[in-house]
Amino acid sequence: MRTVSILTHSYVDGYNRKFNRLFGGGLERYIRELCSVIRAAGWKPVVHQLSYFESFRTEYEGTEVIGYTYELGQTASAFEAMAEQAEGLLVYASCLWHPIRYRPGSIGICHGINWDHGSIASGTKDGVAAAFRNALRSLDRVVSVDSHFQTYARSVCEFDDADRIVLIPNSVDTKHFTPLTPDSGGSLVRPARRRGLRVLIPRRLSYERGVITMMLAADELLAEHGGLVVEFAGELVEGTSIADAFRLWHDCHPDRNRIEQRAYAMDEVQQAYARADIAVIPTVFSEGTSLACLEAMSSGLPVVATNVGGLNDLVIDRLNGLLVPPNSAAIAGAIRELILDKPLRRKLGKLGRETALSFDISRWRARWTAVLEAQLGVR
Amino acid sequence: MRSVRKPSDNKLTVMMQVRNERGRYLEASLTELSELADEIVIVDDASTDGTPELCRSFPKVVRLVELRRPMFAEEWKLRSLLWETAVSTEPDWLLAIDADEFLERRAGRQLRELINQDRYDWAALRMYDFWGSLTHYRDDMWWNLHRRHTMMLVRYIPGYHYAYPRWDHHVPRLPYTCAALPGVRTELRAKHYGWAGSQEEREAKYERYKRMDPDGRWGSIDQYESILDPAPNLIRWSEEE
Amino acid sequence: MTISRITQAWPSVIVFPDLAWNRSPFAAPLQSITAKHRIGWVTNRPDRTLEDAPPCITPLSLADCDHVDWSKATAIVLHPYWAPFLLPRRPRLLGFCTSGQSQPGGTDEHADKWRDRLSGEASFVLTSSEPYYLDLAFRRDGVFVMDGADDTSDWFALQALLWAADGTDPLPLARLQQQRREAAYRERIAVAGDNAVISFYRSVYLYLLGDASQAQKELLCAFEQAVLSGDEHSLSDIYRFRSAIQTALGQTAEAAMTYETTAVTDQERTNAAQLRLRLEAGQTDIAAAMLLRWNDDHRGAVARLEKLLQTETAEEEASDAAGAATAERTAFIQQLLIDSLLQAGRIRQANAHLAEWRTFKVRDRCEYELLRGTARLYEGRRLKAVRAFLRAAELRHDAIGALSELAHIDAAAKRLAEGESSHA
Repeated sequence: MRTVSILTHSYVDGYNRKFNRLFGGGLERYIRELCSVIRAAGWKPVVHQLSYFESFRTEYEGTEVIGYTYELGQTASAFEAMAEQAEGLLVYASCLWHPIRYRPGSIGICHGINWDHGSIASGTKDGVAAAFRNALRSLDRVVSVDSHFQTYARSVCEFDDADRIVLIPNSVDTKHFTPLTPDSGGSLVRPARRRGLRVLIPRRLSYERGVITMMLAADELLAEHGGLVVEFAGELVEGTSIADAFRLWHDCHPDRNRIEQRAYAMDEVQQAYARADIAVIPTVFSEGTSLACLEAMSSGLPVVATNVGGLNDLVIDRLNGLLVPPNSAAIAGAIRELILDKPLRRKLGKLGRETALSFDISRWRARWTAVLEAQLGVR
Repeated sequence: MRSVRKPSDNKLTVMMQVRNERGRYLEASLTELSELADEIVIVDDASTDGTPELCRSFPKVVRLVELRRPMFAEEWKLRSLLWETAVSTEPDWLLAIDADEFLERRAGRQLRELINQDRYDWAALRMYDFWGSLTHYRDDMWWNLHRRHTMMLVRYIPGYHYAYPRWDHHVPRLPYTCAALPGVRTELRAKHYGWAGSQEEREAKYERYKRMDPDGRWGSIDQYESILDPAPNLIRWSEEE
Repeated sequence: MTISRITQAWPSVIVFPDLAWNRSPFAAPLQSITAKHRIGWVTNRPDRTLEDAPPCITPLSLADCDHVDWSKATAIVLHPYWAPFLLPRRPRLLGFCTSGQSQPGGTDEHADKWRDRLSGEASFVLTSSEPYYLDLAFRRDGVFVMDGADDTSDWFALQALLWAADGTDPLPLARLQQQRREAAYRERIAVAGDNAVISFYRSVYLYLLGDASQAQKELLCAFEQAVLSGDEHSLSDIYRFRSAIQTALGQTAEAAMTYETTAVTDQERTNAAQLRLRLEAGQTDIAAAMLLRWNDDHRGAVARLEKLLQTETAEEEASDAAGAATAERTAFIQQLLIDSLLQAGRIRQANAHLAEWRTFKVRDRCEYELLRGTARLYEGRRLKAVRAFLRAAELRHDAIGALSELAHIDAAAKRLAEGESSHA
């Protein structure tokens, strides 16, 4: 049986030493799906990851997971060490912005651009460019989850194989995330008619994901619309300045009973989409193909998204969503328009759902299978 | 409104106090300084040998104050008078030099470069005491002025607070408040010929010091005694190019 | 045991403490107020914080503070973190007592900043550090020092507290204290002879009292002593102050030359060049304000700039042909005024001027929002304050620190009320 080894900095929760569960981020979900693709094709997936504590060996959903201790700041050499122990085809699933010496014949994955902010130093950006030039030279293939990294790589790196970069956009399980229709059946039931609409922000609360901009936008809208509810559906990490900011704002807000915040487990999050009328993805910077945006669109929700990173691949302004620059005034304006315009909401929701269908997970699985097959055939 | 520091076209004015220097080095000194500087200001401390006439014969001497009674016993007054006279001519830079002191050739050549800048306001040189000849200087325990720096050049800043200490002897040639301003210690050298003459002249000076300061209030008794040292350590001077 | 709303009157002096009564450095002067007044002490845990306290000191809980008629109460604040809690309540008088020292160990990063802020907003300030006292005296009126250096001087400081307890602004006493302190330095010089430090201090007091010509004499003495003793920084530490004195004497051109003489760093040389340009353009008043600012006399600078701004605005309104040059001048004066008000800790006044000031630069807009937020906080408009901070953070990520800071201070104030240390 052919082995495909995935190298990553995180899979099972090595941050909190909970080796029997995954860390709840997009990268980990991605790798989990990829393992499933590998198994379905009859190959054997093995995940090699970094551990902040001791090294370990465990199993998750039938996949062997090996954890390696490493020294902070020595990521590149840690990946090189993992590669030495790994068998079969190597997939470098993260950290491509580090100067890693890649094993020939391998594949890499870039999950999007996270250095696209004006305040990040040009020295840092130059370093990132150098690292990607190295990656594009040394890896056989680099899979990009959005068109933005693809464009970036083409415009910054030198390579002679036009297929060096492969675009496999992120996906959504359109059978799982479905819009509510009268005949959809199942356990999802639209709650009784409410006074006002519910605006959902399905992201972890962080600066780059736009929580500050959203708080400012919410302020305006809550004052204008008496029944409006704003739900921040994401993790709020205690002790951070974002947590301080959110709590201060919430505690002194006269409409705090219409501001909700909670974290959902991965399998509960569709409930949030089901209850909502509008979804907002207010990213400021650092966005590949947003899974949350795809889920919201797949659930038939009209989305307001910012024109950052991979969100531009999903949303065409006024066709299948509203696309605005990442500032609170523009976001508030877009949400306001949707609140007042039910037909527009319906239209965007419908076309959003159709858009999501072309990002269905089956297509993603098929493309990945093809890439892996080609690579394994070559070796 | 002009800047306090001019980076170019600085007028260099010599300030010198003299007493009975005719027949020693004064003529050579004024000749050389007339080449190097733009103006010369002199205070004559009641000379009796025709020193003022010699000074007047140099066109670059623009001020000459002739004291009728000597002031050297209240040195701070003499220094202050020379300073006030010199600044009344609106100088840009002042070179405080004695009649028996000479700049080495290299220093003379670099003078303009030293003063035509706007970064620092004084320059110090190393002063060498020539001993018994114009070819050798003395270097031993009591004669090592050249191991330190002597401030000789200052930028004149109108309005700045210049002050001399109110001492009768060993008053510095320039106001001590100059030291607070930014300055540079150069490796340029100056030659002091005061002790370069004959043994008799040195012995006469020794006698004068012992008379003026028998208890060593203003200077060190050991240093006075070392004037008579029969075998001082002498080093040959070589002029740098 | 808290005071019943119905049966007793609230104390007219209420203390917001830094430490428990038996550990507070200001307990002794406060004790002397108790002869005439009951003192309220804000605490949720009187068992912890008022151990050994005299019976006339009565505890007030944080909740009780909502029922006090602050228009009839004098607040004495011993820790800067009480500022957001207390300022919106607008007590009739607010006295801030501080050691003026930075927190030991440096673990409490915001304390110094809020100490300076409260020093700017208080009705009067009492400090036990002379250097801090002088620093403040250059920013505002109504500053007192109690440092044990001189009995009469300390007596004035105590009187200030007593006046405040009575509800009278102690402002007039400040100058009397300054006069006493100047006299004390004069006496020391007469006895001990010339000394750079003592002469310098005397010069500063003379300047504050408005005797610029004597201040100059004393300063030059100090300078001479400093140079003679080999002080390497005498030019900037001592001589430069002469430029402030000369400005006070109306000798702005000389002052500019003095400043330029002391200019050694690139920034200072740029400053000096700016001064020359302003003087050449006949803008003597602006040059004078700049000189005062560079000597940290923001109190003096604010006074001049406010007058200048009034004149400029009046001229602009009177003349239709106000050109770009006038606009530039007015904007410049306003910028200097705002900055000096900020340096003086007068946030609300600075904020009022900012409202008229347009800028496009992100960094400036961010500063503007932070300032606006702080002013709102002082007014008790918390939501508006938080919004302003959020707008600042939207412009620049690092501005989010202002919100963390507020959360930190809220928590610290609660800890102070519990009799715990202000930092976790």
